[in-house]
Amino acid sequence: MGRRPGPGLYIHLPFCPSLCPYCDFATQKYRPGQARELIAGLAVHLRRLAGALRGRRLETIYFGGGTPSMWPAAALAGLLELAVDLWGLAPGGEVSLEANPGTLSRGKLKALRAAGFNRLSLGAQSFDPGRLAALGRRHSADDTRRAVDQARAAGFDNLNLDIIYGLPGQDPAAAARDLARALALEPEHLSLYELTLGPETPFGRRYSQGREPLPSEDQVLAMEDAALAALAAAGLERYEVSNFARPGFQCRHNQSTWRGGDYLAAGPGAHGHLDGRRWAYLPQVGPYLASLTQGREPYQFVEDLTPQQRCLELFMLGLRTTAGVELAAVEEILGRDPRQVYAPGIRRLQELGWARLTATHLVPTTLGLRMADAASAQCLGSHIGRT
Amino acid sequence: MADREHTRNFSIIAHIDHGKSTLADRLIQTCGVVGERDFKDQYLDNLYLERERGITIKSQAITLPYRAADGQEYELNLIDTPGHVDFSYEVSRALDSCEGVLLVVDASQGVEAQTLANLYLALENDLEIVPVINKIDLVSADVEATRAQITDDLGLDGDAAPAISAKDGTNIEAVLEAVVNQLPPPGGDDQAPLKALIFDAQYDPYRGTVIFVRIRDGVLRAGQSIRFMHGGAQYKVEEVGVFGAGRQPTPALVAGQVGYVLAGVKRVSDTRVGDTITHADKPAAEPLPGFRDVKPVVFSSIYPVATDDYQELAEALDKLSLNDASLTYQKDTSQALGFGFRCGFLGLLHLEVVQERLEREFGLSLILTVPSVRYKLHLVDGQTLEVENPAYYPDPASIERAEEPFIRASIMMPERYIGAVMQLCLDRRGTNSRMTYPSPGRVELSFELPLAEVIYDFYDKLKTVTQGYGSFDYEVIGYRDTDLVKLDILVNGEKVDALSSLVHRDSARPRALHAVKKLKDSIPRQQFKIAIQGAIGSTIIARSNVSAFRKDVTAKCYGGDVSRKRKLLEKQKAGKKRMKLVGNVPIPQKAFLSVLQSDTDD
Repeated sequence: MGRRPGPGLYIHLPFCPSLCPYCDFATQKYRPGQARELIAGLAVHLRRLAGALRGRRLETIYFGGGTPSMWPAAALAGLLELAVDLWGLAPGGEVSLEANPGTLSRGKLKALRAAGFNRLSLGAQSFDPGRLAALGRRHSADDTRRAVDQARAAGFDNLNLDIIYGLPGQDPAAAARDLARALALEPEHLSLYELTLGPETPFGRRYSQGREPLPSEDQVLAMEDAALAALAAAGLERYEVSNFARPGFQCRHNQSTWRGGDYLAAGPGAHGHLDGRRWAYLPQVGPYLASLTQGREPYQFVEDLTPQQRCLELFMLGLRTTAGVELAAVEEILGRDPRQVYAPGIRRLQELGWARLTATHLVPTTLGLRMADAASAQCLGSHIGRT
Repeated sequence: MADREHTRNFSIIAHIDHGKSTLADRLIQTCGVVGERDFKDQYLDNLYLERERGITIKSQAITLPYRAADGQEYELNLIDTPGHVDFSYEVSRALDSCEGVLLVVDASQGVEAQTLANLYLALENDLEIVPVINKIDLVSADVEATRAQITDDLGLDGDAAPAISAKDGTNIEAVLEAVVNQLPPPGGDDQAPLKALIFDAQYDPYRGTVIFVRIRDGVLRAGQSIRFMHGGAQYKVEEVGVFGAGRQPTPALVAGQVGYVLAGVKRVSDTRVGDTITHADKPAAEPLPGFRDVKPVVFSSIYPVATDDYQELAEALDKLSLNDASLTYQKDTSQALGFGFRCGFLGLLHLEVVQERLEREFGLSLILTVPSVRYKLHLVDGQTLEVENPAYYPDPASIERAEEPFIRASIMMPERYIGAVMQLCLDRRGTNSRMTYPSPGRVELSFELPLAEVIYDFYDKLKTVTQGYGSFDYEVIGYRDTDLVKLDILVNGEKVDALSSLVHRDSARPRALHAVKKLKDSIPRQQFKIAIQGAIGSTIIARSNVSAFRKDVTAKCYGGDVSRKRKLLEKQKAGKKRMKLVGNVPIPQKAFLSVLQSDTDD
């Protein structure tokens, strides 16, 4: 393909009603005064970025967080309207909102749908009351079910549920029950995450991988195998390590990210990418706003990637997707045939049974998806060996 | 220049951390040698490592001009000595250059093992001893009890000891007065043939070796031809002088004086501490007594982590040895680690000092093998072999018997730790214990121990079992029969030669278990199972596995995670450079280091 996918826009709304002990994201507790300032600041920031896409229309818009759904519908609608005004939205453009089941209502969902949001991602996490409490979630399983019903009623026909497995005290049977409850709600999309222990989180300090009360590696693998079978049986096809969807309902915003696409960003801690330049904004609301007020871009860092780094990213991300690494995209950046440049790494991946080469792609196997981190390290090693 | 009557040569001795260097600083400041602006704390410890750890590893000297209470001008030569058992010979030579010492005792800790060891050393050298009670500023200071200890344990006059705080500068004049009034002036005969004791030497990149001397008899001037009586080499003196804020050239050094000699000596190792300098044309009849050829007792191989740093390591060792005559090194090779050097050290601290200097001053990243002592092997065919490198250990069938060096260790501690320390020494094959009670509540425990057991992790263990209250000193007493085996460590069936060690048969299994466990914890999992084994010959005595990892994937990777994840990969690549490949198993540097670490934390 000739053109990078995208562009997209990512808006990060950092506040949460409370902080969850497993979460590693840039988030902070909600303060109403600061929230009002942030809405105003985001509008300023978006306007300032208006020229950044050189006339390209947005394909996708993604409101992430934090808990964006806790913001008033009018505030979210206002930001969306502004973004569409500034850049335009391609016909059929995807507009996603991350939501916490406890922060939604029938009226709010209707308003959001009317404002143009067409994809809702619900942080269900679990349907087991004990585990929801352990995860620090304030919502109940019934809140999630109600939110799904109300979202359907409001006209959302593209719903995602986030589910976490490998939780403290969870055995494979419990994990399977949890997933079955999620599937019973017939979502178009499901993100299934193994619990990640962020070293700086309470969970990270409390638990260690594979040790009681966390399930053993054997148990985690059993949970994953059972989940893959259950998801396939429910018609949800895997398209990335942790993402499953009915055909045509893959998250286009994330897919673009994984193919090296462009995305603008706004909000504290948000990351953006344009044509090999990656940047992040200051994660704290105060400094982010202060920087904007002084007329500066509130950068935390900006990095201009070398062609080698861009290719490494394509491998790293592509090897996590069932579509695989698009060789033409790598060749376009590198100016050379990746089958040659990365020959030792590719050969090693084939030997290990982690990937296979098609006419156009390097495609990870199921085993390869399970070993994706090690797999991308193989490509790194062989690449470095050649320069 | 002061006459002999108005000269005093003295040293300060103390148990580690009792404030020796701080007192030296205060004396220097009080005598106004160094301007306040130039003054760095612990002025004499000018190697930064010494400054950082408060450990002196080379002798230093400085001349302090002092107008005493009697109205007369004195020249006080302060010789600062190394403060660690590894350097006891150097200490003894430095002390031999003095007429007296200040024995510093911490008012809160009292008499410790090195206090005693230092006292004995001073007594051996017939020195006048002035006890000084330091750290009276501490809340826990007990001056009266310390006086009693000095009187009872050391047989010195505790009541006359100046009680000072070197930190706060309290009562420093009293110390200087004691130096003037209680220490004798130096003797010596200007007319006799030259005898000058070398008590240390340092390397100056512009002038070559700076030799520190104490003139016993005769006069030494620039232009004269000199000879080292033990070394045999002859040189022409370029400059002599004394130590002020820096080196101060003088026309001559006369009997009784302490000073330096520049004579175009290229390397410090061309001089030997304890040697006697005399005139080439009118030599003394015999050298000064007490000379010993110092030999290394602890050996370890040093390898660069990146094989291409070998040349840099070679140059760094060369530079270090310019100033450190006791460091020996020769080429060594390892299948796992490539080219390196087999190095000999005076002790474990000396090893650590060299390692830190190589890493920090020269920016090298190193792997050191398990320290070893030098064994004597008596072969069936009648030959005797000295082996300190496991790589040269012969076929066990050819060995009739083996001997290993023993030390006599002296450990002082509060009485309540006696059981634990006794057990530790017995675990380390200690024999012939003796116990004395120098004062109520305190025990001095003396043990004969194999040196090999002490260089492993004895210090750490001793500190742990005595909660830091145990102090330690030792001397080598000779070789004794031992039951020696070579312990090999195998990773996936391949011998990691750098991890082989010579150990007593009884220690082989615990050591093997320790090594296997440490490796298991520090070798990263691979896509295949890794077997780790400890073996004597073909007999496996310990084993463990690093299980294959079956899942290695981050759950979430979205737009905000890309940079971090890519950087992690790039860092992993950098880390790979620091790994050594044994067969197909990458072993990180920290795995080699962890095998060396004590398991006191387990």
